[in-house]
Amino acid sequence: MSVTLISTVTVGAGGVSNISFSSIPQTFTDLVVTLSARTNAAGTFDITSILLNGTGVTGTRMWGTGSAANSQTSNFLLSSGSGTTTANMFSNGQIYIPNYTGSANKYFSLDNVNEDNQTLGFQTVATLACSTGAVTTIQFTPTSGTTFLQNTTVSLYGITKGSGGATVA
Amino acid sequence: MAETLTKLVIDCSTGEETIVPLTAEEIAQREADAAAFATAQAEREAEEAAKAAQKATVLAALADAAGLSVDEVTAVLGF
Repeated sequence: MSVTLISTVTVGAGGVSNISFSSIPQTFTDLVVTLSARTNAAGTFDITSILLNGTGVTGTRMWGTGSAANSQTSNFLLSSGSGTTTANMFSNGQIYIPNYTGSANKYFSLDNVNEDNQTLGFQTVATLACSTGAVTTIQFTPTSGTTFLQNTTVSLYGITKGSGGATVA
Repeated sequence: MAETLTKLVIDCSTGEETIVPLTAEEIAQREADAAAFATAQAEREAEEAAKAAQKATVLAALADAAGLSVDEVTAVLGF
């Protein structure tokens, strides 16, 4: 298995309301997206929506705060730091999309952590169902806030499967 | 002056990064998502508050029946 960085972006001063990877090459087996985000939402956390090929993805999100566990089915999936979170705290998340070039329904996984360096913490996992064709565009949009803040970073990687059944050094 | 919402588009085939304004449709979708999330959040918080109040009532009743404090009942039950 090999991992290739396709593209990475860091939000500059002024922020942006949406981050979109377009014209994703169809030459890999799976995709991995890593995201470290903070938005201008007023609360202690925000939720990021994911759109594949322009369509919102719905999934089951399960999260724990250290004192309670919750679950929800929605298209609000990744938690991220926001306005009242301790300054310079960013969330950390990863999405794995297997067989992204196929036309069949796909399920992919997400895990994400967000905390405010005080009393609040979220650990989130989600199972996402995607019925679109080959993934060519991935977008991220904050839900409560309007803007991803400066230094929010998103990276897109392509995973290429190993060959045969032999162990690869 | 209203805030201009922008989208950072990364063309993976060229590496080119472009910042463009959100379309009216994208803005409308974002606002609908924000409203739906706020509603879902409020409902979940109300449900959690109701459960907490119910739990407090039950613990108080158990404590009263057992002649113990609420803290003692909580320690025995483990929650």
